[in-house]
Amino acid sequence: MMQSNKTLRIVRVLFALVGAMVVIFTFSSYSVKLDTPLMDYLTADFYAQTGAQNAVGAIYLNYRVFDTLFEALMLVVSVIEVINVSWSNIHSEKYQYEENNLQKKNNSEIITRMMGMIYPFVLLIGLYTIINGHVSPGGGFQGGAILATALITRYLVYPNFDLNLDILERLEKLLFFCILLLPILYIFMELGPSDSILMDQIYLITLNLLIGFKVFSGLSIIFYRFVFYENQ
Amino acid sequence: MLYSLVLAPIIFGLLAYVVNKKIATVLLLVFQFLFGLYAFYVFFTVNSSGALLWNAGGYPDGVALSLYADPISSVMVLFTAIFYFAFLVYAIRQTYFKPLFYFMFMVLEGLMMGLFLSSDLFNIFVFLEVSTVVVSILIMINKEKQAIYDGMIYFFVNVIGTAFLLFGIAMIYRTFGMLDIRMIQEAMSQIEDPKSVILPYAFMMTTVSLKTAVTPLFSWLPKAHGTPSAPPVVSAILSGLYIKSGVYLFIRFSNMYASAIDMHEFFFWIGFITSTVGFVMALGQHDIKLILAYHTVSQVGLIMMGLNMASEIAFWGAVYHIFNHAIFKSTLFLTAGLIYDEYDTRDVYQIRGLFKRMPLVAIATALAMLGITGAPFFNGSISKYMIAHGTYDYSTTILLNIVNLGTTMSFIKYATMLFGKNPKEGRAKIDIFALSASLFMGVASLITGIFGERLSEFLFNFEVHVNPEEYIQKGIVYVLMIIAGIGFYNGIIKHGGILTRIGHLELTFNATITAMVGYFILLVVYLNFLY
Amino acid sequence: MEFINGEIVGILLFFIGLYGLMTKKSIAKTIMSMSIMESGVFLFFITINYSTNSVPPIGQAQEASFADPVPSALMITAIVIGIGVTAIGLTMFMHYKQKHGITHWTRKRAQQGSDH
Repeated sequence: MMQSNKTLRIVRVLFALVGAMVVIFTFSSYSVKLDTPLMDYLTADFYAQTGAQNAVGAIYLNYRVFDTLFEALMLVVSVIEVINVSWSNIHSEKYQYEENNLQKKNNSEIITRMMGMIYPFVLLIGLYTIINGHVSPGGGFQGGAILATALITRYLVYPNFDLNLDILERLEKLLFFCILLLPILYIFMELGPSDSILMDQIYLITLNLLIGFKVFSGLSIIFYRFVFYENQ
Repeated sequence: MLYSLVLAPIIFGLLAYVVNKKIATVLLLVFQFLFGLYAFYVFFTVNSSGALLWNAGGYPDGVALSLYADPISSVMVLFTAIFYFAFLVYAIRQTYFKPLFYFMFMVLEGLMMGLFLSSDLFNIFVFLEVSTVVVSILIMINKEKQAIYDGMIYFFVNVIGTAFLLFGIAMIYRTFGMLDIRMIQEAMSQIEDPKSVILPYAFMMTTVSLKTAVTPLFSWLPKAHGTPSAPPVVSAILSGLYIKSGVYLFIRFSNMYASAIDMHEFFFWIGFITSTVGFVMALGQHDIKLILAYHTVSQVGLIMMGLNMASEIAFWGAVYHIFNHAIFKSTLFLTAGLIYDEYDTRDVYQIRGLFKRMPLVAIATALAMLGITGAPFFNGSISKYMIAHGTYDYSTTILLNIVNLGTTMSFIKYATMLFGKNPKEGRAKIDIFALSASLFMGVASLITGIFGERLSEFLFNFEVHVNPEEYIQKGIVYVLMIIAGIGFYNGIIKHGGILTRIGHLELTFNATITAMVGYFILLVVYLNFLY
Repeated sequence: MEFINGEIVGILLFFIGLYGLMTKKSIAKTIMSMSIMESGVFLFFITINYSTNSVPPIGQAQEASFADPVPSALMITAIVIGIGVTAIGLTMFMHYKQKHGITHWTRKRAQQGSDH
């Protein structure tokens, strides 16, 4: 039995080595680059077409917004999964308002003080990243993740579970619904009031905001579920 | 307007999730009915005036993300929409019909539509990833121990498999600088040395082979499709429809690479091995759901054989078999759910007297079984006839007959449930909705068989002429096979022994991944030798 | 060091992840290996069409050419999907561990059909 396990292990190591070598060999000796039509088209005229100065933002909010819808769906589905497959199986009532969850002695004083100071700035930079997503690096996903770290810092300072996850969850569904509707109406059906750059930019900012808050609520739910439900 | 086929189920699923259950049921039924009509409309448009195309945002074709409905995909969309209506009718009175369930159920429909329609590689990746999550939630909906384990295996194996696809897409994008399948297909002719697309081909085919569950990679399928506590509707969707998205992607991807790489022979043999292994494993099972699940492996192998015979009639026969398999396999899973509810066991050796206890369910089961074994006048016979017509080679015919014999044998085992003594007096009370849905599907397998020739022309614009003499000959072969099957059953299978032991063989998670890597290396090395 | 670029390192990371998946029985390590593997793909992807003298694709075109925005946009999507996948994997694992006390991939599933 031990012997066969050992051979199996060697086979597996060999597979990984051989695989990597074969792929690197084939890749470095035969791979070619023919053309870059997609890149040429998308970098040529994106400002006039979408109103975004950031090409990456233009792609995921306008050219390929169809992907983004399913990316948002993925987050919705993950949150549903995290809540429903969780072993604790109980909604928020059980762990809510437990006084003795407040264990300040485990937290370093320095962290508590510093986090308290950083907290508003984290929120600020998150919002900035979201709103300026179409003119500078950033956007809804990145900004939403930064906003969610604000909640994490809050947890480090004040580890208590007084958030109503139910409301956040409903908010997330609602936001997802809006995220679905907005591109359908504006990009696919072209129901926008006028076809100007300004209108495009309003659309971009709105969608970025929606995505930002959606990602924020999704990630916060996942984080708080992990901290307070899975960690028992 | 193709995008509404993808997004409408998701939006209505979301709406149904927020309103109360009674309204939701009505809403979903009405929606699904209208949706079926719309799918019909799309199908007719494609049939009469050629392929439909939708480019997101109206950007030029090739750079925009596009959805594309050609004859094959519009048929897939059509039958997915129709079967979903039957599944919905089946499910509405069941205990698991809760908001979470029907939300996921509708989302899965939208995702499947997306997989059938999408013409963009990265978009397909996103659909695959999201649908993997949705399916694993549906499998684990009861949160029973075995279900969580099965769901976990399914989830991890498929996520890792999809990472291969992403790598393939990266290499395709590096080579061609675009993501649209049709454009890449055109650009593929510029490739001078086929060796430069070996890697993306191997990466993408590994994922597709995993999704279609061919030989070394099928070990997740019985776990996922045969999960004991998963609702029967979920098993029916997975085995009837969802697995077809893998086969469909196989068709799309091999077309995409057609001018550079041709692997007919390899996948033909893979298909044959898959279907042999599938029915041998099916013979060793006791659990009716597992029998059906392993049987799906075998039938998918047959479809792969048909697709890779390099003949037109066999190709369309295989496509038609995709459709037929969806009918009878979902019928069998639906009735298996009803049988389990009544008998409270899934052991095929303990269920007896189905004709006396639940006659209508037994009729539906029998119709589906006649279909799957390819009895004359049933749909299976037409598609199997077409596949067999793809070759005049003697040895290939023998291979096909071996597969058919295996199918027949495992279903003779399954058919023993129908006969025998009624364990309790009287008839069972069955939910009328579930019963009518499964009966509808069962009758469909007879009707699509009787009108097989016309249906094939109607659905695929492919004319089949069934030669009556040859058809009768096939009928005689069928009867002989039944007799041989019964003989085998009484001689070997009944006593179990070695077959049961084979049936209980399975790969661990690590071994599954090892098989996947091995398969990938095999593809790369084989292709390097070939070209 | 022409040989050590993002693409080669990406391929190596991918196979390191696969090595972990093939040999480690612990479910937690499986999730980690999966993340490593995905990072390999991400790295490979964003190295495509990269050249040292290009500028980020923001604002109007200047004298230097734009870097390719497509891989970045695609990878945002893929990374968000990766987050979802990791979270889901961890939840399933925690459920399995807390309810049934199992942290490793077992050899055999419970036999079915015979338990009634």
